[in-house]
Amino acid sequence: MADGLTPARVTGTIAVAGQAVQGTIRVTAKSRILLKAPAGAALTLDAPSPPRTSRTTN
Amino acid sequence: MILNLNYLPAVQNVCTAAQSAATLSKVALATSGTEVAPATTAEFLAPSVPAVLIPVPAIRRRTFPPPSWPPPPPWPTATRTPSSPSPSSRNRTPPPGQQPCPPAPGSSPSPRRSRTNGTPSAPPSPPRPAAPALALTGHGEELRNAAQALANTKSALAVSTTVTGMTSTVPADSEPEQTLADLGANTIKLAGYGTQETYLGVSQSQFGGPVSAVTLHLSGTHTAVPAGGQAALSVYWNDYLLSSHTLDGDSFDLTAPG
Repeated sequence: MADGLTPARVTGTIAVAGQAVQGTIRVTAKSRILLKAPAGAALTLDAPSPPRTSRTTN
Repeated sequence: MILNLNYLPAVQNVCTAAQSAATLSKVALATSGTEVAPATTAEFLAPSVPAVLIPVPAIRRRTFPPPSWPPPPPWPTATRTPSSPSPSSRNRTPPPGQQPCPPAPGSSPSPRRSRTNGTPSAPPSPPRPAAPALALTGHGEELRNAAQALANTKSALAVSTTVTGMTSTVPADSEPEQTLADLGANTIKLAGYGTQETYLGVSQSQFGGPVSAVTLHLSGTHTAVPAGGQAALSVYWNDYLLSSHTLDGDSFDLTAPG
């Protein structure tokens, strides 16, 4: 399969609000942990994108 | 790609479950590499695409897509209540005997959105002239059946020129009225404190053609709401609130236009 465009990085903003702004924030994609950090009012997600899933060839 | 956001409060009890939330926003995906014109169907589609959903014109046409594409009809849909049952951090069970906390002063109830994914929320736009286009030809029932077969998630996509094993059963009938069972959800159950949510995807091909309007009829039963507690059922269609119904007694029956 041609490589073409490949996902490189995924970014975003995480906001935690409410009574308990204590704990852990975890972001996963394709079973991979992209971010794991103490919960805060504002967190930035900036992580390498998980590799593409290969497709079965018949 | 599906992003899962889990918020694990330091103190996990029914209070934090009901009164704290994490929201992921401004999601962006940067790519590298160079665009390459696709040579096969599989290359045309992203590897994460499990199936192809194609709205089939109601009137008979020789080719698809037609030269003049009508405005896209409402797209397949989600039936859900505001919350999600999936991540364990958002489906918490309080200790026995502990009652739900009242809302914090100054707070207002709001659905927690702590997961984003790549699920299509809008109909595919007609191919741009400069972009590679996948064209399917046919007419009548043959084209409808082909679209339904492509929409079947059991269909496989392959990269070689010949493919075997792409066998799926086409639904027997395309009726204007579809039940939850017809749409793949025999029973929908929601349980737990806080906000619970479920999603039901609906393909227009299941109706045999474009869907210009929809009416949702939803009925069910629920356990009694504890004294002093509140419960509501909200139904969304493509993120638009169709109906919100306060639960009392032990059953509900709502009809909402889409």
